[in-house]
Amino acid sequence: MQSILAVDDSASMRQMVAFTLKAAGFNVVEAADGQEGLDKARGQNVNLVLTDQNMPRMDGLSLVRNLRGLAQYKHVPILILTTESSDAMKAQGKAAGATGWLVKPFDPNRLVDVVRKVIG
Amino acid sequence: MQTNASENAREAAQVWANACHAQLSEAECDMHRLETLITQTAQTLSASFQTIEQRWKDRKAEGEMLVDEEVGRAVTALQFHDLATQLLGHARKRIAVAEEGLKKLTVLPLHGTAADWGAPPDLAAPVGHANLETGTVELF
Repeated sequence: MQSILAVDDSASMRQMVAFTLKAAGFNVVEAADGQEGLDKARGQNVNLVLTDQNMPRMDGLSLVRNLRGLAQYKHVPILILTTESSDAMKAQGKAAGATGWLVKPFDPNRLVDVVRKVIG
Repeated sequence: MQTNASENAREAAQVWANACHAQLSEAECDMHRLETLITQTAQTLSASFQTIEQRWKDRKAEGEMLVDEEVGRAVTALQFHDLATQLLGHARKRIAVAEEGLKKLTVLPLHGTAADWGAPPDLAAPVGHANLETGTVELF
């Protein structure tokens, strides 16, 4: 079973992401901020990272940069799921090494389609 | 010299007055977005659960797909909590800036110098949604 790391400081958002992805057959590992996400990513291999942007301790862009600095996450898809929708923020995400930018709220079927597409 | 100092203080006061007005207007917009989100969420969840309940009672095979669709709508609607929390957080920050500005406008014209004013912070709004339509997807 493929594993997805879902990082978001909102418990309700993590719950909705986990509910959607588990129903689609994925294993979901949850983290409440970028630092916890980085710690959990280091401790295991996940097939995709789905992260919020605005979080305490470490934001999504910093998490992307940190993960891209790890050999095991050089080519793992990383999607940013956020309320931020400005072109400037998306450009920062792309420069940091994110695979894609999803604006909340997400449609469950569409999220699963995108995850399956980028996870290959 | 005295006139320049007074003009500088007046200009600084005007900048803060404008900032207070802008922040309170934005806070009002955030509250309006929040009210719209809450209303739409309540309507969406109510409709979804009524449909699910009805299909569950009917237990018709063709009802399964409709249940999936309604659960999907409910999942989208339940994300309102995150959007609403962010909107409230930003509204609070805007009100705090306006409060600071009003304090300055009350005290500094009488006792302060131009250096005491400082510049009002520029607060961006990360939540632009005014409804529960799903967001965009962009792959790089």
